[in-house]
Amino acid sequence: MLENFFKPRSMAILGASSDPNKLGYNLVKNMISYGYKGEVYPINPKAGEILGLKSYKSLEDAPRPVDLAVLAVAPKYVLEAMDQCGRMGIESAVIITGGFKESGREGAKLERELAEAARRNRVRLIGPNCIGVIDTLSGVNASFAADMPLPGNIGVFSQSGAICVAILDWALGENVGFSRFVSLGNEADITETEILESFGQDDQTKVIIGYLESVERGRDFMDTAYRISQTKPVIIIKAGVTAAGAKAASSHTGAMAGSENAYEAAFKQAGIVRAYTMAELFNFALAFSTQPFPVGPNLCIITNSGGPGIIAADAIEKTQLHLATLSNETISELRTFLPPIASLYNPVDIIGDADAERYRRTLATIVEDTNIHNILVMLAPAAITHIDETAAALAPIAKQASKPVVTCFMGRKRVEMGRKLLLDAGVPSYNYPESAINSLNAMFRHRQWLDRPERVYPTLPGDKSAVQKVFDDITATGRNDLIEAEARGVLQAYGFRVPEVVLAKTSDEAVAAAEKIGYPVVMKIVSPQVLHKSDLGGVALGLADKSQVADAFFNMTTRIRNVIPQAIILGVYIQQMVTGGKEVILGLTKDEQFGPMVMFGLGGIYVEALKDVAFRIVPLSEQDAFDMVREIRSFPILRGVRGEPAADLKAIETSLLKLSQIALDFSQIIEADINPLMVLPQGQGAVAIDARFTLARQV
Amino acid sequence: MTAIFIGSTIEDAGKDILTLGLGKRFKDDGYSLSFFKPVGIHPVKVQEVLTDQDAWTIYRFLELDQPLASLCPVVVTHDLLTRVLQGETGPFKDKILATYEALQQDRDILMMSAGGSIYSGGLLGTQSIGMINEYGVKVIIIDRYTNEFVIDRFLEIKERLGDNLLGVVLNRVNDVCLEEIKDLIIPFLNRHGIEVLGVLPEDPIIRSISVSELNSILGGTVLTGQECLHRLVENFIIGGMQVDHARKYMTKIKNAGVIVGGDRTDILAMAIDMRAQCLILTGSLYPNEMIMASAEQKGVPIILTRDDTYTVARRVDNFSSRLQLREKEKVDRGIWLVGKHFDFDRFYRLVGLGR
Repeated sequence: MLENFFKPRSMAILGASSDPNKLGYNLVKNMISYGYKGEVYPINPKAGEILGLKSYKSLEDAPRPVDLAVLAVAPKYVLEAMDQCGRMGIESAVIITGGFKESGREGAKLERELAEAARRNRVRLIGPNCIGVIDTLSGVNASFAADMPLPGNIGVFSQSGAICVAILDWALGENVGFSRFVSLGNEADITETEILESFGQDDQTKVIIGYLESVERGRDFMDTAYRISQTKPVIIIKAGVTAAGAKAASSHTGAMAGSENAYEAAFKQAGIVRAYTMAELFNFALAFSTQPFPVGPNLCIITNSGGPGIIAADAIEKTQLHLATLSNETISELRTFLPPIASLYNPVDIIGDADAERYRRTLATIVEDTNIHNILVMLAPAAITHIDETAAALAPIAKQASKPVVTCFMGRKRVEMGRKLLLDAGVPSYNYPESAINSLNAMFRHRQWLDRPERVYPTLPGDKSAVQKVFDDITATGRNDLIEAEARGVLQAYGFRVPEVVLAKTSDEAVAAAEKIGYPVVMKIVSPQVLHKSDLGGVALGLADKSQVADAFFNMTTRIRNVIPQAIILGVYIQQMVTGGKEVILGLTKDEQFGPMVMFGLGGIYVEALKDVAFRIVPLSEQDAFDMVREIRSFPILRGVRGEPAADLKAIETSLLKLSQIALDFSQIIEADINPLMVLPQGQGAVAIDARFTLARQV
Repeated sequence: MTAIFIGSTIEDAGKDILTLGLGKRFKDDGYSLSFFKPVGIHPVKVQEVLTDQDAWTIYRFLELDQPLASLCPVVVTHDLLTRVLQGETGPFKDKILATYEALQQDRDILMMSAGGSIYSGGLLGTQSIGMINEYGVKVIIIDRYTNEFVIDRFLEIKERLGDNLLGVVLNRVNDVCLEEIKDLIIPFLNRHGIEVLGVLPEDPIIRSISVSELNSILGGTVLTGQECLHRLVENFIIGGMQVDHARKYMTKIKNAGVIVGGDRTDILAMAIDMRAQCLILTGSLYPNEMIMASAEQKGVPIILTRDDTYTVARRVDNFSSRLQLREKEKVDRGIWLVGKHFDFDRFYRLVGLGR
């Protein structure tokens, strides 16, 4: 798939130039400078010779077959070039040319025409407005990048050209090699998902890194990333993390869910390793591309000084890694050669006068300790430290170890050579301990993700036709929001437990209902104009006797009439008050790229202020539901603090899965809240106290 | 004893202002006074007595000394409304007439004002016009002056009330219309036997709304500035523009409330700087800490709402025509306006009260 882009037998460069100041010159130069074995045909109306290659007046004059066309001509010639490609049977083209969507309305129109022309001529496109494509194995450098990356095992794609060139330069500086490199440009045809797929199939690529600004067809992207992540780590930095909150949201969920939440959830579910900074992207790439995955969280730090060791230990606190105790054998062995004042416990401080041999023996000993799963070797460049010798002594052991070994040579000038020695040998060497530890942590977490059982998507039965009828009735009236009874009906159709409810139109009816249900009761206003009942004083809890019910009826109906004079008050609901549980909120919202998304959080009035919520893209697997419940910071409250009984976590998970099923079955739902879902102690289930659904406008 | 009924042909016309202004003057002129609202549509419980919110305001500010229970014999609660719809036929009219009889004792003047318009009350069998004509009560009609169509309504009510219509008052009159009213409208009405007893100008303070009432109708959350909720907002601006433009608006508009998304830090900072009366943040978007701190320091209340900017603006606008007189500042202003623009001499002559 897309192999013509990376291993073409021959290629034509449209807009090739003999003027070294022109892009078309650099393209030709790059193509012939890095060992590409195929044919290169420069195309230029003036023909002649470019960099020693025969040049052709037009594409159709070039010998055949041509596997790949690279275009650096002015935008107005691009459409014609597509037709030429079609006539010559060229199936792949890289459009370097800019001046399309990124330049305004005219450009956007031209880009639509380009996409259409490509489809018509059966040409697949990368670009336009991109840097180009590189494959280090075949020597293809169909780009105007300043350099060729070193050969390596990392596949890189980016939606930003500038980030592309920055990544290339960084990689050369750190001696990191790439297998393939794609600048996606405007993505008129080929998008990130197909490139991801092609990197997945490329034997040379072991790790994939990407820079994303947005994703088209989110669900396809997730599925592809999930499949590839099973064998190759996919590390992505997502730019454009905007403030959460759809502005006109009418539900709690809508107010809290932004596209950032959707990306975060999608990446988690797809097993994508997310880098939050450019530094992390590079750091993770370095570790993932050179080191085996750790089998556990236990980390040992070897250091020649106390301070840096402590900083590293602090950094561990924020991760899932663990400073483990060394085994007795390891400690005994270390004791035989380390000075008496050395610290044999983790961090292992081999003190300031440590030479290369002491470092080497220490690492060699600890590598053998099966209790240790990760090793970080730190060095502070004291005057007597033999930095380069130490690097040289560490490299072979680190390289051969079956567990990840990374290094942190702190400082800049004096450690530069030592770091380069390590990087050349394929041992990550970081400037700062936090970078080293975060990278190891990312690897450990990914390993945990890989070890998870296969995803299970339960199909939960629901009375679809009952819900369909509710929705049909509502859309027939032109309404978008379900009133409470309708929402309750939807939930019941999918097996949610709901409290007993009676509609009362007068205070006498309210009292009678309360007597029948049994005190205490909850009273809620019933009015289609009142969406957020509690905001406007439309909910009264814990009413314990007749007079409280009658007073509440008066106060509530009067208040609602005052604040929304045009409100139609249908009465109040008298509802059984469910007590002894913990309130959580479940929600549903729709993301533009990824589709429906389920939310979970602790309930109550602070839910929006704290934003302590977890999201997953629909459909949810059992594992997703399990993770969501445990992901929020307030999870300990659900598990029970100070001898409280644990909440019925299984019931929450089932409820999340049911909500996911509802979203799958009914795509017209754009927002929903179940707030609160009252979760009773373990084994006793959960009751959906209140719910809201908003449907999409019918077109 | 003189009985005066203050009514209007439309709702929210300004009856309470007029009642307060007249009542205050009557008391100042040494008359003994009682007041009641035959049918109240804004229920409230005061000292366990069910009464009407607006009647209670009038009672307090006029410092009346009649029993609280006589203030409003029929209060339309949601409960009552539903029961009537279900078939209940309470002795509503009897209660009103009993109150009317009782409050006449030992008073010079009995004032009444209707809830809703003078045509309201059919549902309960308590239409005002029938009772007015039956008992020969004198009526003053107040109406918002929107355009010439108000004349139609005055002519219609004159026909229904005949000589019981004492005169009319034009309310919320824009100052550009004053000349037209003087030259054309008043002479026209006079020719048709309708006295114009007052022309009350549009007034920003009367039209204003307190920050706390605003919060209540929007169902918002006050994030900061709890101590400034009594402030009156006279105008609103929507901060959906470039900050420089918004600043220009702010310099022109007095006592403004600013409606804007919580993420528009630039507009928020400017509005706090310009001492807006309050900020109304839409879309449940919390402001950042810098904004909160400076609002707190400068005493600018912030209300957070869930709705979008358009919905909030619409609700504020819907509400601005039915604002009620609750705050002292507004009541004082209303009394002053009526004192200045109502022709008391003519009124006293018409009802035959000499001083």
